[in-house]
Amino acid sequence: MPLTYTEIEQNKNTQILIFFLVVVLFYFFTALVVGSLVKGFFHLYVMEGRAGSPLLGLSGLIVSLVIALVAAAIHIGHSMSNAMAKVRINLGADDIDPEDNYHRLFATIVDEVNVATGGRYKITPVIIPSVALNAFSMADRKGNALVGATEGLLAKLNRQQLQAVVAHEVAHVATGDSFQTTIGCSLFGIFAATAHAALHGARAGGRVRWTRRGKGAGAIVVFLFLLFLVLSVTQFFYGLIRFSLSRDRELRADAVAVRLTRDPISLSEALYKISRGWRGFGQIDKNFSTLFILNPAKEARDEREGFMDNLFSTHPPIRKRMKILAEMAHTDVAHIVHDVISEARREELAREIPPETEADQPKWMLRDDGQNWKGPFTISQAMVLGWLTPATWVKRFGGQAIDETLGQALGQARDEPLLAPVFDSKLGGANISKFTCPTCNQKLVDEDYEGVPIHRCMFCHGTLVDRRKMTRISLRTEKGFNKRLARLADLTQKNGEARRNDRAKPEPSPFNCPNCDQEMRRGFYTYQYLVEVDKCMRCAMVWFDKDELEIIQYLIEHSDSTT
Amino acid sequence: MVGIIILVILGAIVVAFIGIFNRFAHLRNEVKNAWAGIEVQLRRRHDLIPNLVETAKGYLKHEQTTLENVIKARQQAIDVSGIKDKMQAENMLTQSLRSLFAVAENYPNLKADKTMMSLQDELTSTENKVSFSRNNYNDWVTKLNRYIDSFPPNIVANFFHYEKADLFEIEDAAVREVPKVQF
Repeated sequence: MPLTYTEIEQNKNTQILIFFLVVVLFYFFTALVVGSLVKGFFHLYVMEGRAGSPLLGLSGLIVSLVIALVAAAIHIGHSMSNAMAKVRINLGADDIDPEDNYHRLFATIVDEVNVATGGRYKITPVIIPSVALNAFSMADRKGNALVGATEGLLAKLNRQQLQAVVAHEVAHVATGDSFQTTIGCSLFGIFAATAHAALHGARAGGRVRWTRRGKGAGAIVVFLFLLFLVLSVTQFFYGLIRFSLSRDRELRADAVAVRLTRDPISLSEALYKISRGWRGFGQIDKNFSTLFILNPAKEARDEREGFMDNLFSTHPPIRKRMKILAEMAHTDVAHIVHDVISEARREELAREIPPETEADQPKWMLRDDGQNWKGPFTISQAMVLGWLTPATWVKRFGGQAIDETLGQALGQARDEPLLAPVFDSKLGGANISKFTCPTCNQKLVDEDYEGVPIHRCMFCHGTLVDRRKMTRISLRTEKGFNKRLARLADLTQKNGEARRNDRAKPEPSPFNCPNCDQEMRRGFYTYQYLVEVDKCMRCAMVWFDKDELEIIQYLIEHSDSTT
Repeated sequence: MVGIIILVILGAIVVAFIGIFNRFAHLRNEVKNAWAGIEVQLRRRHDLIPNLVETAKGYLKHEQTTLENVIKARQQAIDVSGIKDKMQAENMLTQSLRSLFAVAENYPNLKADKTMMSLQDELTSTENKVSFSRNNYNDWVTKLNRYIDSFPPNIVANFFHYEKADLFEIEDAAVREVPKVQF
């Protein structure tokens, strides 16, 4: 993609100069205030007003300026070293999980889009484990970059839309915007966000203490006031920095993204989808909003186009962005909105709904090492037994002959054509897990559920799931629910509500965790979704009995009417 | 006086010449680089195909001609040199892969095969990368060609015999369509 390098480099350098000036101003201001206070104090109390002026003279100004320059240089140097990693920690972005299908797809898309730039950058895909819909990018001076998406975005966007969003973020990297915003966030953003969070916490905590004890309240008020003062000053200077970042950056990145993927419609669709959802307000600090494709907070200013709005807003109106993109494809916003809605309807219909009743599967009786007949087993159960070999004696359950031409009821497993997949791991595709079912004592099977690896027992159909991956499962909508499950879910929830109070405290579970062998705890999944499950308190594994995982997914999906 | 004017004009010409020359060097390098980018992706595709054919062989006993076409097209794509011929061979390969996947639709066992699935995913991704790197290449070629056509760079181009580069085009109308990837 032809972007002249010198142009970008120049842009970067002027931007850094502006940052430097703002930071110098910040320290000069601080030094002046502190200097005046010190000198005034000295004049009034030590000299008792005998000599000199209480105000700072020319030498005072020069000293303040020198201090400001030095401090600013240190500050900038500190912020610029490893800025990306620092901001990333503040955003709570994780590496991708290579076992997760959605994460792998995201990494693939990032890789593909990077090819469109001529492979100039080293882009690492990261994930914010949040249900919000948003995406961001960061970059450093050496061409290393991060492109991040939230779990919600991965679940709700289709491949093309995700590709369009990634292209938008890569465009920010290519035009050098990401580098500027990363440094901007690192200069003041991290500090402001921390102070913001502290003030928030202190306000809530302070109120309680205020009412309980009079003692110490004064100190808290002074502390709060100082925190507030620091926050306002940093916010003001951070405002200056954001001021220098034009909102047109986003329009430019949209345009470059289209040049990368040649697909304006998908980007427009993606913007619409993101704009309709929760973008992370309250979770992503507002001081990092410049990094994101849409402002996490829905601000009225972003949708207006007055002179002041253009100055202060960091994101252009969503409708305008959608309109420009739609016009590139010779269509209009109404069509795009219509397409998104009908796509959602199609997706709802395409969900995989398990059949109401399970089909009759063929079963077999198997003779084990001790020459005892065991069973009957279905083929997926036979697969995990461990002692089934091609030489094992088998007979069909129900008395049918194994080999119809010979008419034999008894045979070895290798003679039974239907059992062949058990011995052909390539075709069978079932992966025996390292975990054992806590109730059946049989090996679990690794399975893919909504793109997340889970472990299912083929005998009792219970599942073992890493609790940290539950957000992803509940967000994704490949699997549908049949009527039986819907009824079961409503019933379970109702039962749970009746017992909410006397079963609120988890009690010891009858078995140990299949992962770490710690005793599990049986209790409600959460206080909102009243399904009794077994949780491991040490390794965050959860054991769901048959249907319980699906019930929880159903309950979560049907409880939030907002999305 | 006249001498000074002539010197100034000569100096200006030399400066302009250096500027144009450097710009040509930059553009030609970028085109070369972008072509190398395409080749990386094409090679990746060539590497994937033997595995794909090997996996499909077990299932497609009655579709030997389709498989042979893929292998032949791949061999041809590897053997040819020169941008124009390469483009043609690659388009052929894309066609033959397309018909292979169309045939595979009729074999549910093959579609469900894990190796086949991951190969197909990877091939889709490589296909996307080929098209992205092609866009990148075409962008740079357009830029270079436009520069060669403009004045005064056309004088410099003539002097050094700089030639226009070929665009990497897709010839088949069906291939032009963006494939809808479902997941």
